[in-house]
Amino acid sequence: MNLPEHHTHPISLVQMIWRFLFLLIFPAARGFLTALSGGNIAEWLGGAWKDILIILAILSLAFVQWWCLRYRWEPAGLFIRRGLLFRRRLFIPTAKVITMSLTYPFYLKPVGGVRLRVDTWAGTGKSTDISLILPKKAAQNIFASRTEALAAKDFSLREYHPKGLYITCLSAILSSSFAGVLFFATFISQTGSLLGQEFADRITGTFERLTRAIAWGLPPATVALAYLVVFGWLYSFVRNLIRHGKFVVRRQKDELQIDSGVVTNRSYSIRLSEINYIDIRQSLLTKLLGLYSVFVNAVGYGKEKDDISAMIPANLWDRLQRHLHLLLPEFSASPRQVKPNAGALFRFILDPLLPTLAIPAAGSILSVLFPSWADFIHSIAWMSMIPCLWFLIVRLLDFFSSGIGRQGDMFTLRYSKGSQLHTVILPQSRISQVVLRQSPIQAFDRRCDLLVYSLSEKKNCHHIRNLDVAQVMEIFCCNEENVRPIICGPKPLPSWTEYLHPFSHYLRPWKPFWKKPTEG
Amino acid sequence: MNKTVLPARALLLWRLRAAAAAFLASFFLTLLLSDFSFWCRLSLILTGVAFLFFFCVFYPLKYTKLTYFFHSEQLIVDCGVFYSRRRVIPLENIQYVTLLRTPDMLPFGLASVMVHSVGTSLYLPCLRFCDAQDLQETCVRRRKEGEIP
Repeated sequence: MNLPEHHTHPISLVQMIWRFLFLLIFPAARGFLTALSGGNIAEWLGGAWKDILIILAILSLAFVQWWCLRYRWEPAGLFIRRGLLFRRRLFIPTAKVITMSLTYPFYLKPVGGVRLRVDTWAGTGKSTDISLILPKKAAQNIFASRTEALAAKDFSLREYHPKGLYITCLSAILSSSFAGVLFFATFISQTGSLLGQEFADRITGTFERLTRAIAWGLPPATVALAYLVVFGWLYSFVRNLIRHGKFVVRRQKDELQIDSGVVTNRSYSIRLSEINYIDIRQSLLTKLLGLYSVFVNAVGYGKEKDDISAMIPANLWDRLQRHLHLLLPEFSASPRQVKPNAGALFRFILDPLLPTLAIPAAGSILSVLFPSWADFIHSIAWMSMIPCLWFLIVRLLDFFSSGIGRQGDMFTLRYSKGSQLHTVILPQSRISQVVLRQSPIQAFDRRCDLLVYSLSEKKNCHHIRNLDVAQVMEIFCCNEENVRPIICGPKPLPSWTEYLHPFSHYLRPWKPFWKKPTEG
Repeated sequence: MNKTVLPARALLLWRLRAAAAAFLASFFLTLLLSDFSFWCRLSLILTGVAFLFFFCVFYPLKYTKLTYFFHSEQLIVDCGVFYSRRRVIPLENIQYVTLLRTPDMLPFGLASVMVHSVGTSLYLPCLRFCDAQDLQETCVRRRKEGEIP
């Protein structure tokens, strides 16, 4: 028996009208050409029926598109039909759906619209495979039937409600000044075009007077920059706090369900067997506070701009382990078995050390060259030093904590990326590619950088620095059987030839290319 | 352990490509900069240096270092020129394998192989055509049958 097909929510019409708005170029062009040819309003009004025709065409095209878009949810999967002339029929089997999510945007709440998103391994890493605006009840029914299918009667539901303090910590971790600064810059620049230049000038003037009043002897430009960064961060923080409010995680037998949001509510249902890895993150601040946050990587989760990607907001290590064991006992971290040697310190701190030394030097030179700007240059140099020093400390912490561990088929990768320290727990089956990269300098002490690419819709790389090449090969089982004994035994000094061909020395007897045996 | 190495004709092909590129670059540089003798000479010298670098250093190193083999249900490729790289792809995650042949590869009986995994890919240039076919078949067959190497 065929189940009935349904239309999407009528509010989708607005979305479809938006697609055809480009047709308004014709009325605009007609008006422009009438004015250009010296025509008057009466002439323009004479042809107004053409403009009305175009508007009617836009409305009817949008309506036809909406009318032809039908969906049907059945236990086997989601069926979608769209198009009038170019008909498309799409069927996504339930077994292939990795993440399903419901978003209740505040602007759709008055009309009872809900956005349903479905994601599979197919499609690009940038956009969701299917996104429909449905009536609230219909969307909730689809979501509930999926949850029911992934649940089991013999499995008791596990639920985790984090404390408000931990959500505040997570919001602080995820906040960045950049997003806020971008928002304020756009806000001020757009105010002029929307409310008039006078209003925009008034805002800029008020900001200027405010910074001058509370400059406390510092150059006003520096203070303005500092306030912009601070307020930018605060804006981002409040946004994250609203996004992560009412955060709840539920574990069913083969499903992880995450709900969050105060103004815009979001519900995610992730198929447990399709989780690629979990990422335990720490920033410098949370490292000092001893807090950890857990993030989940799965297709469709945390994909779009305002999506949630956390699973456990912030917790102390012991509690985190308890919650992780409750929600995802399959993913357990193992201790470090391979780690960088003491001599690798320079390799870790080189990147942040260069700007840390170069910025004060450049500041001193510039202040000598432009003495009237000396105060401003010094303050900017000091402000630029803060992120560099921050980065330097992160790399130092990374040096003491990075490495890899293995427990059965589960790998634990510890490394830093940007200003965050990551502990990634990754099943072997979720590894797409492993790359051992050795620079000529690393060949001297037989070290290599490890790049692990995990399964993902887009390239997702975990980079661990300066590990023993033989130990890495052993842990990832990519060592030949006839390779010389590793780990133990004295390491002879490499010759110049070995320096140029480090892997050749390890993995096969060295044969210069001019003596290489040709094909047999 | 059977490692597959590149045939000597792969190096010959790369060197011929380098020679052709150097010749074309020199020809056009002479044509365009004939009125500026200093810049003409300088660009020709730089082209010559680049050609010698590729002919004597880059391609021989690339040729020497590139080998591949199957081990523990994984395709392992050793490659790199100045940096040495060992790339490991689990066979179960290989999605499909593409064979590429440019016109200049045909007389040499060579083919390149592109191995596509989820989110990543791997390029193996200028293999023997039969090796490339074997590699393609092995990857696809093992993925299909779950056969242990």
